[in-house]
Amino acid sequence: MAMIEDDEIIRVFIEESTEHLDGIESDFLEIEKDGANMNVDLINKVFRAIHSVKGGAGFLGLDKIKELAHEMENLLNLMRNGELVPTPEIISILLSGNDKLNELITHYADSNEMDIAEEVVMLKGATTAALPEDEKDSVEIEEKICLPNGYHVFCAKKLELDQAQKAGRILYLAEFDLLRDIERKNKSPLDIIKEIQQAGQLVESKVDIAAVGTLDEQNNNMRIPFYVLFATVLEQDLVGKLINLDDSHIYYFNKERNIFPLSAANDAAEELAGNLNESEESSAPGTNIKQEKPEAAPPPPPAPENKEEKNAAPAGKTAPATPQKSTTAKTATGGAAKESHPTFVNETLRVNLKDLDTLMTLAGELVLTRNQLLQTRNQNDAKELENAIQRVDLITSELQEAIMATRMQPIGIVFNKFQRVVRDLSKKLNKKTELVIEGEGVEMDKTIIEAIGDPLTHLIRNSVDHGIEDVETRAAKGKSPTAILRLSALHEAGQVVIKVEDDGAGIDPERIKAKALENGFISAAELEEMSDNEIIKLIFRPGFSMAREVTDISGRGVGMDVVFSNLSKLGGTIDIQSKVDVGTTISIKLPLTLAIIPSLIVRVDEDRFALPQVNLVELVRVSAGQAANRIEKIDNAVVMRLRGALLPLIDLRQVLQGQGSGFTDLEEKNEATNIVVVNAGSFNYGIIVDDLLDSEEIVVKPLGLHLHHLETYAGATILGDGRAALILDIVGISKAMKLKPVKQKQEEEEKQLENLLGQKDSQSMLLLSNGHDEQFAIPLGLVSRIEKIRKEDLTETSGRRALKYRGGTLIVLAIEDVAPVKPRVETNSPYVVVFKYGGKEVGVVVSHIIDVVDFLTDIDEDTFRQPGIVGSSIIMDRITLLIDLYGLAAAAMPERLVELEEEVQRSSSHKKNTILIVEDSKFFLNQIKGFTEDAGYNVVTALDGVEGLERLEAMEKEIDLILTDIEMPNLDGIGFTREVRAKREFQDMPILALTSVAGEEAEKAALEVGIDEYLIKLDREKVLSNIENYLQNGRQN
Amino acid sequence: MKKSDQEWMELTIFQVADVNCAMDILNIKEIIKHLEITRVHNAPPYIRGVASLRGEIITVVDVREKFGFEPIPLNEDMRIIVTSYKGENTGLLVDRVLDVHMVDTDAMEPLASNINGINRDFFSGIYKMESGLSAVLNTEALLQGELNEHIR
Repeated sequence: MAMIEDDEIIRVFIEESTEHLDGIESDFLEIEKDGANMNVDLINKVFRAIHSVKGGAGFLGLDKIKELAHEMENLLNLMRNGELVPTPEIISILLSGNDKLNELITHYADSNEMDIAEEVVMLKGATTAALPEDEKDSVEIEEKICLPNGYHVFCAKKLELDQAQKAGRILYLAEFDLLRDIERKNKSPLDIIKEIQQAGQLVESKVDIAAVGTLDEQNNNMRIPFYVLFATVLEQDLVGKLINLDDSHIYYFNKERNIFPLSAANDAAEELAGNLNESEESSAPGTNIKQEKPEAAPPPPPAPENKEEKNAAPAGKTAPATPQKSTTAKTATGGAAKESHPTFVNETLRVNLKDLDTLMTLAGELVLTRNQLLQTRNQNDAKELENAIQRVDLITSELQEAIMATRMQPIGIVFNKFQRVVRDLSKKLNKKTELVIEGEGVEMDKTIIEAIGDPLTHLIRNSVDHGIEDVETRAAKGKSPTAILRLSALHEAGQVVIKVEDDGAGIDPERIKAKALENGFISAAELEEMSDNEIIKLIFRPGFSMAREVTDISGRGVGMDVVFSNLSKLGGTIDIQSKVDVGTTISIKLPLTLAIIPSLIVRVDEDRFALPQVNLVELVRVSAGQAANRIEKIDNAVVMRLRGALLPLIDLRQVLQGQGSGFTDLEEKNEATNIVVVNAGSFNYGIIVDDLLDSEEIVVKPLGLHLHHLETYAGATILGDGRAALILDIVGISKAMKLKPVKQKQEEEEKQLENLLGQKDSQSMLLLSNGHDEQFAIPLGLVSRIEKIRKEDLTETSGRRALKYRGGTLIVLAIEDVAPVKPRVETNSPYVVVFKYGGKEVGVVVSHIIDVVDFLTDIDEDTFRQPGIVGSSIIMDRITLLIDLYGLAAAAMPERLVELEEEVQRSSSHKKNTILIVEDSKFFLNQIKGFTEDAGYNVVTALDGVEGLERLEAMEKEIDLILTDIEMPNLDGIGFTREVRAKREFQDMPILALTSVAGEEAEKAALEVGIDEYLIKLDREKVLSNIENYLQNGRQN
Repeated sequence: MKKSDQEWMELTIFQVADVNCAMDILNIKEIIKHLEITRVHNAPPYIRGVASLRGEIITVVDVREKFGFEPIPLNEDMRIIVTSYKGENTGLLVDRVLDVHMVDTDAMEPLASNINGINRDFFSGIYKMESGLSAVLNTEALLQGELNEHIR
């Protein structure tokens, strides 16, 4: 049949088919999993889906789609009737058929010219192989379907007819009239097909234009017959009601496939007399019903349960027809090729009715508010105007949210297609992989959902190809033969985190090293200085592919760098963690939506730029005086010191002027420098701007053709004043400027930091205030996180403040709970400083965060000493009270202290490690004691080297490790260590220095006397990890 | 340009440096007076910047620059002519818009040589009018130019 060119009908069909086929792939995989233990409902579901596609395609003249669907259906039908067990091979055939079917549907306009021979042959082969010997030829044989008067309607496959008549179904031929039965009832032929498919199984359909005859045949009851051949379990007396058609236009077939008018059968059934009541008006013009097969006894409804009839229908059998040959009817167009060949892209989106209602309500509100605005303009009433503007503001935000909601789709749409990818790949590579999907309900914007597919596919392929070992290797490693590949999504702080985790071989940094050297990516010296994690991150560099050989699965020269840049385009970031033989975890962070992004507006000269907040790490202001110290040049690159790390720095003005990595001479500037620290995926860098203006939610607009190629920009937006502003592309800029992370060993960094600052005992302190003139400080090293909260989230129950927080409750203290300071001034969004106490998180609420400063620890430990306050210092020209977090927590929660002590006693029954801390500053002593005890160690303290030696002598057997300060009165750390090492029994005692004395020489001296490690004071994590390491492994000589 | 089945067409006449240019009015979407152009650093020199056109970001091409003249600062007379190029709205910054003329399509004459040293590919023909000559701008050629190099 020629293709019908009704765009609307085709569009509906294509959309519906796409929907039908949508979940089929995973259903096939499910069927495969079930194996012989078949889930008939599921098979039925798939069968129906394919069947619907076939029905519609047949009607629309999409012959290739019909043919392919038909072959798939045959195979499924065998399965459904229990004649075929779905083996992986069968499923593979069906899957490739499904792929082709999807392709045909997508390119529906060209589908009739596409080649489906391979799929059809495979499907046919599988079907034939499964059939009993004597039915095999039925795959190819076609039978003619004729009306009782001999009028040839169309042909149908014998196999299909056989299958249709099985399981108690009766085969019917219905003759609808396009005009009376369909058009006038406001239906379309597709509706009829759908109705029938709900009740039975459609075999073939056709609009028979040829039967219409000529117009001048004076025939006022002209019909355009629409024939539908179908099978259903409904008996003859009911079928007419089902399809809403008069019995006179329905025929049925007995099991020998002889055709009888239904009306006759029913009348006969009623009268039992076999009175053939001819109903002449029933037929198409110019045809009379003639019993062509007189030998067939008309009435009694055929007994359907007999499946095994194989008598070929006597009249209508034809020689095997080629698949291409289809029943042709002359449509007006004769199937003229279309000029354009549209490809189907799903441009529709299902929207929850509730969301639409919300939108409607909001639109109504907006109209009302507009009226209000117009009115107030006339009245010139400032207060009314204010009100109206507020409403517009509110409605706009709500409208925005509501519209976003309509675009949100579950990520499962993408995730679920990976079942197939993993299955096919594993099979090909002889690996066993189980894909575990979590969080498929997490919703993201449609555009992101669509764009995330390719990068994820790449990651999954990589994982299966390179990460996961084959069964033998896994067995040799003592791993379970089936690898687990976990794909998960979850919400985190307004972003979606997608993780791809495998328990495979992991990435070997040594191999990356070798590869990087081989490709000349990096020098051996540079590699030497990099940590394993940094080395692994090299795979994000352009052109880096790890595949040992180029396989057709991955490693086509495109690698993680492509994934990385694709994700960057979406505003996402990627991180990788890998351990040899344990596995690899790749985390991707993505914004929920692309359309509207929160961003920071910055200024350079008179130009404003938007900087997406996803890329934003922190804002740093370097005062004119500090600039010379903190900003310097290393190998032509400008870097900044930031809490011990070196940060590559660029001047946005230079970027804009295309002047490479040069930068304005900061020392000549007399004002503070604003630096925006941003994350470019694998590393951070700082951007110098003139001014930080505001945070704004911006709508991202694409740049025109002439500007597409610019790496500096990610797009443009329109700011509040109506002017256009460009959006900076953080990753693009780093590429354009050829920025590289500054790599240095931690120790070197520290040394350089100390050299640079030329300071002793410098600490990063978090400055806080409670809204009064009192200023507080907390060592930053002790802080886990800082959260900005809403006032309402803080609840007070039974005298205790708590914060509902990440699904749990966080106990929140206030400084004034313990220390005699002024109570906190209530603000709408206070901050909670989170730290660990007794293994649990505790928060301290404050009104404001002032700054993070590095300051000389010149601490007055007497003047202000109070509960919860450990001392005072002058920071930024003000007296600052240093908060004793552990003291604060202990005083506010005495019960926790008791618990802790009990815990200590309980565990001290096992061997518990004891640490001697030698430190003259009570402030530091308290803090260090706090976090080491918290980590579960017994702590003994001493205030100088002399006291330290005394303690050591006294408790010789108990002490397992020493932490010592260097600068101390009486006997300093160096002297102390020398004394300790002088004694034979302490040769193996690990001694860690907590540095405050700067300089390479000091460190050298320290190492010479036998100090094992040089650590920054109050770098809690590092100190603890070193303690653990030394306690476990002892001294390493 | 237009086929012979349409005998008359309306030309918008505008000035770029000392050259009178013309465009079929049907190819002009609108002419903007408010010149709030945001400059785009690192862009090719003929890009004056981007501007907001009712929520859409359009690229503004400096026609002076394309013609090889020195760009001049924005002034009151300057206009942005918005035309569609490859499906997107693109702005042409011109010195001033002068007039609209009804002309006979057949009266267009081919360009004999370069005008004032401007690449003749930028024009599809020339009209003789009472007020002098007007060269019909070939926006396709004007906007294509260096684009090839950028779109790889």
